[in-house]
Amino acid sequence: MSAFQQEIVDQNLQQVFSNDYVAVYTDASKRVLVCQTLASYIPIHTFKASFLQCSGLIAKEGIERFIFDKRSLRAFHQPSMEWYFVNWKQEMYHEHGLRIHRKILPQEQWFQKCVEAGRHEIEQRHPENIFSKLDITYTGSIAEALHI
Amino acid sequence: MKLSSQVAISNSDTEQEKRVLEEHVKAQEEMLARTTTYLMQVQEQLEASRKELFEQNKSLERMVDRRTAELKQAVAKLEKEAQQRESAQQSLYIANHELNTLLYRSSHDFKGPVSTAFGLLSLIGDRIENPEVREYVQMLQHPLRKLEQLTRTITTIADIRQSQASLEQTDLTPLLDKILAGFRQQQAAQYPAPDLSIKGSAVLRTDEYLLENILQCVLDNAFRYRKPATEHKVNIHVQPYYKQLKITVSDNGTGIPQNLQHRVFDMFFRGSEQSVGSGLGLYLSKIAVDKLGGRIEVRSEESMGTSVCILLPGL
Repeated sequence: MSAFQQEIVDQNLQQVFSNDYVAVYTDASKRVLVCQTLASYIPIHTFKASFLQCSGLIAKEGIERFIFDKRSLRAFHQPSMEWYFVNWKQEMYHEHGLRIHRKILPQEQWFQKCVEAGRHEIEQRHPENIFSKLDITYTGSIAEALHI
Repeated sequence: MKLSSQVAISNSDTEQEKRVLEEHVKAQEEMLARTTTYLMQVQEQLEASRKELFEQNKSLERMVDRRTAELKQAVAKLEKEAQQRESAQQSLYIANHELNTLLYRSSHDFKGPVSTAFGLLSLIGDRIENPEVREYVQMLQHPLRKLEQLTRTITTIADIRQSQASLEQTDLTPLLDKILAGFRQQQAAQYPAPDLSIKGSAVLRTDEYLLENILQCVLDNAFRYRKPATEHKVNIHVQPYYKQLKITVSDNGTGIPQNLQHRVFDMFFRGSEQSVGSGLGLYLSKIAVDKLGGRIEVRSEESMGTSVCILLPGL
């Protein structure tokens, strides 16, 4: 069990589903959904399928806080991320009122710069997006993401 | 499951893994290229900001240099002005000192010849038999008396200006009696008995010579400027006032016109063309009161009278 998975155990989160690339957990009492990546790269069709499965849970459980733990990733697939930012988040906000997003990035500075560059490009291409309406914060651990 | 099927599945998995791996590598390459471009843009922006900051810094430095030079000039100018002012003050101090000395010496020097002339005139007057000449001699006595009084006042002013106040316990009551007796002695009809009221202690630590001169001048004005065909009244009111002694001398005389009141303490100020005084009384009182660290105020209404209020420390 990785250290990241150990954090899930420590927080008593229940697994909802998983595949080779992601594992999704919940704490229904807290209306929290955690999506933890398991591989260094996620193909776009798996990424979209996993997030669409999360959409169903968000609608069903009335999820108010979504935690995306990307610590295993080493490749930032721009089309996936653009879809995640522009389509999925927007739909979650307008359809289900999901506003609170907590993200956990790998410790490596170079990867964080890559994320910054990717996000900058998305913001440039979609200036009218709802970024400002969302409560997005980067945290260092699952425990922190659950409370901040 | 047949082996051929297992091999086919295995081959399919391997191809899938290979495809994902290729996608992974491609995604990483694109990510790195994007990040490199982004970092270059950021670096360009940083470089532009650095250049802008450098230019602003240079501009600020130039501004600071210019302001420093201006300030140095201003300081030099102020120093020069201060030196000039100090030099002017020094000159003024010397001139003032010389004027005081001149006033002091000349007033004392005038005093002797005037007294001698006055005495001799009195002697001559008794021996002249020609009534016309005697009348002229008597007429001469009037301006000579005025000159004697003026000389005495100027001498007193010179004395006050030259000397330091010498503070001693002084009882105002006998001092007032002495001054009022002097007025009565000069011309009883002109100096009616004033209404005197003293509340509380009238003993204060002050310079008796200065106080006597203040009261002499203020009372002289109060008795002097009377309205014709009116019973002239003078009130002297003395009372303690917050560790000071408040002396108020008021009369129902001619008063001073409103437009002249701001000049009452000026040297040679006269309230009207009919004024017969030297115009130095209130000026003398003011410098004496200042010397004692007190305050003097005049309130007056034309044709109604005047009130002079003196506040002296030392109670």
